[in-house]
Amino acid sequence: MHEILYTAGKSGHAMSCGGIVFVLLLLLFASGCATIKDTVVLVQDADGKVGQLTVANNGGSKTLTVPNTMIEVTGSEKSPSDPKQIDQSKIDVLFAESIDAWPAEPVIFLFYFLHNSTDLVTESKSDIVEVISAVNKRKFYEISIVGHTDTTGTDEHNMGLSNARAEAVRDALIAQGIRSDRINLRYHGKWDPIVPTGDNVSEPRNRVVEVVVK
Amino acid sequence: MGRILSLLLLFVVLAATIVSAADESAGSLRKKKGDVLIERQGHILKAEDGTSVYPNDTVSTGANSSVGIIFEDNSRISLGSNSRLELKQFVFEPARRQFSMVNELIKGTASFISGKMTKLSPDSVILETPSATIGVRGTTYHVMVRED
Repeated sequence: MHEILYTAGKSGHAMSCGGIVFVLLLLLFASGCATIKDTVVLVQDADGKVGQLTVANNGGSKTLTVPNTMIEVTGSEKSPSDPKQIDQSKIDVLFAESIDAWPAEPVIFLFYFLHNSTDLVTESKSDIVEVISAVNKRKFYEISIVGHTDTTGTDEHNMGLSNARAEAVRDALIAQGIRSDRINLRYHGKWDPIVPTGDNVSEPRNRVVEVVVK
Repeated sequence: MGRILSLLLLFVVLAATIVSAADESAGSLRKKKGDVLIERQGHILKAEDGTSVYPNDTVSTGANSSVGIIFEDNSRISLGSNSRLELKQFVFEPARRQFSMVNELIKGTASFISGKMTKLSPDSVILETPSATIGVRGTTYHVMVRED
């Protein structure tokens, strides 16, 4: 609106009757091709799932739920557009550079532990070698180690247990030549179970350390 | 004497806690190509693969340049050329049930893959642009922001 009045003034038109008609014509013209500032495109996840994006500003709010649709925004005071279709070929061109720069998908390993223990179950012992092989395939690597527990026992006990399990895996990896400065260790106790359960549920799949090579 | 010592010890432990909290990186860089810079507290740093990024950092790319960021929750964001992304907030603490990821794409192109954050806390991930705020519910998406 401001831009349009400014344009009219600059071109020397007095606000006579003719001037008003001119402004109206300009308005009509401008509403057809307002400058697009943002283009927001929803696509499908690698595993086929589709999430949701809500684009909001002072002009309103619109939501994308269908893959290969987009919303355009022309300014913070103007409502985002309704969702429109966008071709895959156009997405591939517009976002070629950023798609090319996506970091590789992290590789996740799960090391399982005996109940209330920092000893690995037999089947998990050989997975250390698998982690090393994933590391060797990458140009650059970092490893994140996150300790978990099942939901039996107190919060405090499980925080300590998840920490001790994470450290056990860390030490095994360092023994195999992984650089300690490339390891980030965390522990989440019973608050971030791999398999969601209620409280006080003995669940072997949650006695686990998650190792992510990224 | 013992009391002074234990006070001193408490101070050291507290100081160590504060330092480690400030040390917590949001993620680190991958696939750096061309000119990529990080602005941090008024300083400009050169970026390389593996360089850590922190809340309040701004990552920018020059012409024919691009870079990826992998976050602690396994979210991935990548920038095309002539782009600028400000990391405004990153909190990923499942143990305290604290989650928040707020970034602003100031200009350029960016592609996004959601990580664990939106699975554990669906309303905690937001991308801002100068003209809009985007609420993200676990998905892959792309955004282009053109300058005035």
